[in-house]
Amino acid sequence: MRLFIKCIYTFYILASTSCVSSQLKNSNKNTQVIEYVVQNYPIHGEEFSKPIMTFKDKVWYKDSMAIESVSSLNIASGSKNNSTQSMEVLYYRFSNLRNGSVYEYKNFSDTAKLLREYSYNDTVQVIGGWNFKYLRKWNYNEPPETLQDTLINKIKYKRIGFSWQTQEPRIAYVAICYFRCDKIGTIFNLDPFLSKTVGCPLVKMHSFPTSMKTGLHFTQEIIFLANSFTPKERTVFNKWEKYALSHPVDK
Amino acid sequence: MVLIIDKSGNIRKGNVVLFKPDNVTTNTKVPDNTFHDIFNTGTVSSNGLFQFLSVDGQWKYQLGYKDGSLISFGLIKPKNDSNDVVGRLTTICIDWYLVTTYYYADGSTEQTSEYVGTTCSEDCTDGMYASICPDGSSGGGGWGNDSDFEYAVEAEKSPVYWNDLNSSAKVLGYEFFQGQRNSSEPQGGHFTGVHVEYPQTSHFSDYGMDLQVLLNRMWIWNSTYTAEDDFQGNVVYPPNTIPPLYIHAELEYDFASVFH
Repeated sequence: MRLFIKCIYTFYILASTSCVSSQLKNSNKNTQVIEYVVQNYPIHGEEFSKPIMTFKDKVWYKDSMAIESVSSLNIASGSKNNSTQSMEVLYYRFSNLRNGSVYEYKNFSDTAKLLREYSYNDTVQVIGGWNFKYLRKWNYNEPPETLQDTLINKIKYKRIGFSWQTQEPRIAYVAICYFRCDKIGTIFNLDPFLSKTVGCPLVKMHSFPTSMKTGLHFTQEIIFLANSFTPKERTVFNKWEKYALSHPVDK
Repeated sequence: MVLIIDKSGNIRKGNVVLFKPDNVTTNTKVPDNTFHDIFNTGTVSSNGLFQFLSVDGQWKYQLGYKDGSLISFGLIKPKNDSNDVVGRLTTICIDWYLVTTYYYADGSTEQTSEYVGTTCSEDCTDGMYASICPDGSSGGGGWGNDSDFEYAVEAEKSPVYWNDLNSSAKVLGYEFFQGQRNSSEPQGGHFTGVHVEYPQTSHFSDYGMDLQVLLNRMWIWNSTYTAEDDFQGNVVYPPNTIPPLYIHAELEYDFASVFH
């Protein structure tokens, strides 16, 4: 596979796990604002031409509490084969990750209407946003292979690649993973196991079918926006946090 | 003899129709409502060929049915769809062809052309032969190029409502159209009905779009069909990211694009 030609090292799957693990645990009190971006690309033509679909959601995190925007991508497809796209925030989800209580608000405001509250242990299907309930664990066919580091916008990324495939129809994929070692300590990563193994958080994945003829061609990326809240963000966060602490949801 | 009567009860059109069944032993008569179905529903229970002649015996067109569906439409035409005229000193001759379009189950068509005869006039300056001369409007001797046909047709279309994801994911709808082909209408006919079916949209493999139809609205205005559909669901990305997705799709067809 051509993208693996540059592979120079065998991936050491058990490298430095204990050290990273403790760093991730120590991150709980960090304040972080990130944007989670998922983009689809054409499977024909240029590898990174203009994305076909772009999903974006923001997350405000502090001390095991988090607010996620939950957005929908709205596509208007016209009869002349033209289409337009826009993102619309459906609601904001506040999560107390210590006890799994979840509160959904209509707007990002300290006076926002509370839409519903539930526990992550409930049967409610949690969709959209970052989604702390997701188990981010890829099933790859073979041990990943280490690729050369790369520099993008002056940020150095460690890289690994692995292959995976869908079952029906059986289509072979390649995933290229990008790790940011300057972000050790963040709770945000796209696969905790791979992040621990490499020693840096996995912040970007590029997956595409090996044939580039049929299948999903997409990227997922965590963009680190800030390490502190704006005054408005702090006001909203504190208000919702206060409510969550005084109204835990029964499991 | 088949007469078409308008809403006021007046005779709008008349044809002599010859039925040539595929199986002469089982089809000894034309079943009730057959002509109603030919003109209105397109679902005809008799297997065979219906030849439509004018009241004075000119062969105009023919419709072939099998297993309830229209399988062929044949139209009597002068050669190359224009008055192909062989001029002799005092004689004008026109070659006539049966141009038949065959409709196959996969939506494809095939056209054949079969020579059926020639009509001649001895003298085009003689008004009594004007009907088959180049400027005339009809042929004599058993054929004519003024075919005024109408019959019901059905078509299935599977439009991709939003196809930017190439083959990886798309929203498909299956639209089943009914219409009436009519030679006197500019678009070649008009829609008479439609119903829409959506499978579980397209869910590519374990991943891709998983959408449900929220709302479907459609309008038919003579030869134009317009639809608006709203879909809501998610895109499933591996390993398990599921962002919400909403699609509003608009679609417009004209009669000629559906019934080629």
